[in-house]
Amino acid sequence: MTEAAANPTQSREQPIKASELDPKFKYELSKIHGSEKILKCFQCGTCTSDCPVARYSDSYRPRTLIHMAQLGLKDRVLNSDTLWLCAACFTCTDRCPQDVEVANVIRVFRNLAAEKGCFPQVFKEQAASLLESGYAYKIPELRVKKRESQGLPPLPKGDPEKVRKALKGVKFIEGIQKLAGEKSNGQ
Amino acid sequence: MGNKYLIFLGCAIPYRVPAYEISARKVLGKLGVELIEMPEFNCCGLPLDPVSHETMLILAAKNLALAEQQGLNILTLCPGCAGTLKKVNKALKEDKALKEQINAHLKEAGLEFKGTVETKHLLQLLKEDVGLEKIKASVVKPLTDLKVAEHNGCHILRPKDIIGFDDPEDPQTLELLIEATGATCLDYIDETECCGAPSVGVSDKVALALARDKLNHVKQVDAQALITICPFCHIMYDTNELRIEKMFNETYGIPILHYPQLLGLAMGLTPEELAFNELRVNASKILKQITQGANQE
Repeated sequence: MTEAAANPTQSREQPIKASELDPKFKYELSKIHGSEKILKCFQCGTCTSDCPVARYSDSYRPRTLIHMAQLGLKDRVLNSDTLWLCAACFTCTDRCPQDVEVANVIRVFRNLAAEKGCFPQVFKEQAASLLESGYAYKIPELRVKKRESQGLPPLPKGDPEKVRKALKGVKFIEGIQKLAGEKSNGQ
Repeated sequence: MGNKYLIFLGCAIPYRVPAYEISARKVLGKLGVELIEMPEFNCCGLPLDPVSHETMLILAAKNLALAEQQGLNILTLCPGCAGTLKKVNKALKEDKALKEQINAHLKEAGLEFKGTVETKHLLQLLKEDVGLEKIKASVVKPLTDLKVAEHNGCHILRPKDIIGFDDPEDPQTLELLIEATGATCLDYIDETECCGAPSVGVSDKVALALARDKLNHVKQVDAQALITICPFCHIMYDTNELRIEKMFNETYGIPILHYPQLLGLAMGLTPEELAFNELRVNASKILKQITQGANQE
């Protein structure tokens, strides 16, 4: 990932080549569950000005990301590191005057990036834990045992086998399983 | 379905926040809410939503389908779990094609989503099912001299069209529940602001800056404690307060309490019973004040 691509505020200032535009990207998005209303965004900036993360981050700007997507800068959006800064607080969703459901649009960007293999390591760990235990956070054995001494009932079983069965055919999960398979074969 | 709920713990609470579960169970027991243990539940799905919405939908629907088999509504302590289960329940009930798509996955695990149970978070249950009057009546040691601040967090309030039981811009429920204990709930700026927890791991700098501002605002009004109702918000403040103090050269010393811990004290439960020993930020100062106050009476 180039530095410019990692930071959309900077990368927007980079000259745009016609060849890097994907004019169909916005229509593609408007057919995906969650980003159906991206075409309704008229760039008022409510999302960015009310975003708690944007206040503290030099680069995360939801309006910019949506603008870039509308322009067709697909690769710049999906390769951008700052996509992953959204805290999913839904302030933008609740306040958007056009009802664009901004937080869901950001989620769609992230899902598309993840399908290409671009996502932070932490999700790989959570997915691995989920497939192994049914829980996204690996609950240490010690904690499970301590429950009894704290007067707490046993934890419900995560039933990972059933979880894996239900998740069969999910692209992201298959990618994670493939990675895990390669790793264990390599050892 | 009465006052009987399947308790849904999710991942974060059993992993890192036992005091919340311990105190909630004690308090709900005193209020006559019956909790039924589930033999099987998995992650609600929310942690994986950023990378795979489909995974989240399947995981949430699987939990709902399991609860439907028991014929009981779900109670969660985590607003993230509550929001996710509510959102997916609504989405699948409204969108037949989506329901069929997700049910095809659940069939592989021998399950089916029908849409027959509802989910409530502890806060909503206390407000709607137990009611303020009953909570007030359960108070035997009113915390009259205690001045605290509330932190609702995001997922208990937003998105409004899915959560809906309180106003995200000017929430009332937690404040009323705090005041029911006899304590004063102080107002401060940016009360409804995000704690920053979801950004931890992606940018600690942004996450801690958010938490720092919040703690500054809470300190400005001289709150003696900050009250939370979310495991992630609690981790964000309780676990990181010392780190933020060091990083930004600040001093807070503000204990972060789970709401049921506060209510439990007012119900006459001891700090030991409410797992105060699990808190990172020492709460002995306010506990001393509460005990002394009780002795003077």
